[in-house]
Amino acid sequence: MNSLLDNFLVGVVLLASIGYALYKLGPRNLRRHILTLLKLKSAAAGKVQGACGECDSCGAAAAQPASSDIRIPVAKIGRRD
Amino acid sequence: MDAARSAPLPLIALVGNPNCGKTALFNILTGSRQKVANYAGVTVERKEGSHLTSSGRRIRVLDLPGAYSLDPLTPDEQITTDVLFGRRAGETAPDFVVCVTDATNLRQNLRLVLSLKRLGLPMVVALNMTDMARRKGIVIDADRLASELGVPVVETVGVKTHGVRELIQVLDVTPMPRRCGTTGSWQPLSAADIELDQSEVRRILGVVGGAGLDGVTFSDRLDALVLHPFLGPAILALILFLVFQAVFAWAQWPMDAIKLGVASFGDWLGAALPQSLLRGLLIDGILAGIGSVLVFLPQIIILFFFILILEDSGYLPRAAFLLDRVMGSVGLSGRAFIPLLSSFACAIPGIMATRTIQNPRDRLATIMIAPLMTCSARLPVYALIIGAFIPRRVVWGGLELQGVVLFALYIAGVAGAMAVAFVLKLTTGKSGGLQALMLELPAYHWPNLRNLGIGLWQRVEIFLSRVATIILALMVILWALSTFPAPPPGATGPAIQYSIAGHLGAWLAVLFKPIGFNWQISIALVPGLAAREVAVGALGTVYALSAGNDVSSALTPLIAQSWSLPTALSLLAWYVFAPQCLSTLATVKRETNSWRYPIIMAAYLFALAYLGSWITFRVATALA
Repeated sequence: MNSLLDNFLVGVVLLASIGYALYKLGPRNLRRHILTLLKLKSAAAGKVQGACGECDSCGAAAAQPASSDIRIPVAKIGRRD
Repeated sequence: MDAARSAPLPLIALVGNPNCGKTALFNILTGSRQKVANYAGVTVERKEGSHLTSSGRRIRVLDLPGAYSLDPLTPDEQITTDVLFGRRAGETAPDFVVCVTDATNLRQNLRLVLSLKRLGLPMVVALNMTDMARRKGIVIDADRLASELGVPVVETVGVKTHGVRELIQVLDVTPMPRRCGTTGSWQPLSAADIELDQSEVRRILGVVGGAGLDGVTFSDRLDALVLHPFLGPAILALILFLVFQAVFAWAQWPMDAIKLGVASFGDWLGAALPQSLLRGLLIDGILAGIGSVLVFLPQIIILFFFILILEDSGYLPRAAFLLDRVMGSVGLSGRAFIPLLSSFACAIPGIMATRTIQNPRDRLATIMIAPLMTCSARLPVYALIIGAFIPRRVVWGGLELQGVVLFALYIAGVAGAMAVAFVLKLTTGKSGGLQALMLELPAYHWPNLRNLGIGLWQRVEIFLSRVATIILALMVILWALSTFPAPPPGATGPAIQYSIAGHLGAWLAVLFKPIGFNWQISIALVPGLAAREVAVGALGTVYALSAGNDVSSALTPLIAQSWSLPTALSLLAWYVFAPQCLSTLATVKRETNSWRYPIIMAAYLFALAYLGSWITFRVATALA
């Protein structure tokens, strides 16, 4: 019985770890799908996120949803329209 | 009642020249903890928070990148003007503008105020840094300034909570009717318009004061030393050298304390749990992996302590000025210095900070070399290998040898970046000719202890949250890959050799054998692709399963026994160049809006890493 419980706990931790790693490191589309699946999208929109690739390493958090990404083609940077 | 509750909140925007204290005001108004520092270009992104006034009125507050005018020249200025003109997708123009001005430098700041007035948005002028202005003997008649400009003017001290009381009162009582759509039309200023504005600024300053003092200030006297053509670079080198000395010299006892704590916990856990799969996961997977990384927290704190002091003191733009000539010789703008320096913390904010660079080619070159700057995630890897292979002894009159080696690794990263920039200059050509460096040199001031404390606490939070989330998750997965399938009956080697990770390591070891990596290192590099410091945790887990004992606090002596010196040096060379960070590549994709550049970046960095490691391994083997 103890062995069964041990294996069950290890399985749960492993599944949670795989899910989290996919969520953090996978493509953004996958992340959105996971959020939608978990119905957490509205909560996540208000969360302060990393300002960037969201590695959580930079400390420069930006409180904005991912949809407001800056998309400036390199060739156009610095040019006046 | 319901309609009032569901009505969109008024939106106010903090606008102003770079380094005038917008983000400090934003932090106080919203209770946020966005990064502030004493140089232009810290904020390169639109940030939003909310403020509840004393009368219960909630307003949305936007912090925008600094801008010198409403005719943008750089991507960060473009963001500011797009927001002000209501050109951002899904976002209307702000209902109200707080134009933040630096009271010590009104001559420059008032030009933007005049442009904003022309735009027609309701506005209040926050006369910020009035405490510093008074200390300099600059007295500004705020009431007179208000009547000259025709808008309310309030004095503020953005780094102190009570310094913005008056501004909060103004925001509380000012009506802010919701606006729809875009702001009024804006025509780029002609040279004649600019001259007119400058005349108007001179006239206003003549009336209200604030023209500044012409005498020599403390900053001027210090700059005579710090910006000296010979003394300046020597001082810069000395400062950086001392930082890396301190990283090793000061961190020893807290690192020993963490090691002892982890080892004691491991012993207790080992004694408390019977032999089982769960015990293996907790001790060989989680504790060995996490403990190996956690021990480097003191060194990261010490490194950031110095980085934050340099940022807050106003020294960084001086360093950019000193290095302009060197950077120009390899085709980089002096303006690239601050993004590259930010990359010492993490390449991602560094890459984002390139938005302050005007020339597209310069910006791209800076983005491409930013990952070569030694980010803090490399520190655990470097510290682990240096601790294992470089003796802890004092050389050359009191210098720590380990600190000298760490400094050399940082220099190697910088030298690699300069070499790549030079190759880019030769292959792509420098378009637009030489661009002079135009950079504001802010007044020096003592670092704000509150900012320093918050900055350090944020680093601790970031490090611990990474350890407790993504590193933990990857350690659990690596443990599973290193444990299953179980070895066949009668197997003689360590169980990990028969596992999925063991087979993967054996396959990768063929690829990495020419550069001296064994199968354990080869395995650790795979999860290390997610983030560099994960490799240290991965080595902890892999060696725990190979050696069959708890290595959470003893990884350093274990690798010292099992690796040769050429292998260790080769791994250091690998980490100087290898792009072991998926988030950096994702950020490059986002900033360049193309997969082309991250792919080129990953390819050239891996090629450099392999070549650098191969040369290092061969030379070290020959010398050994």
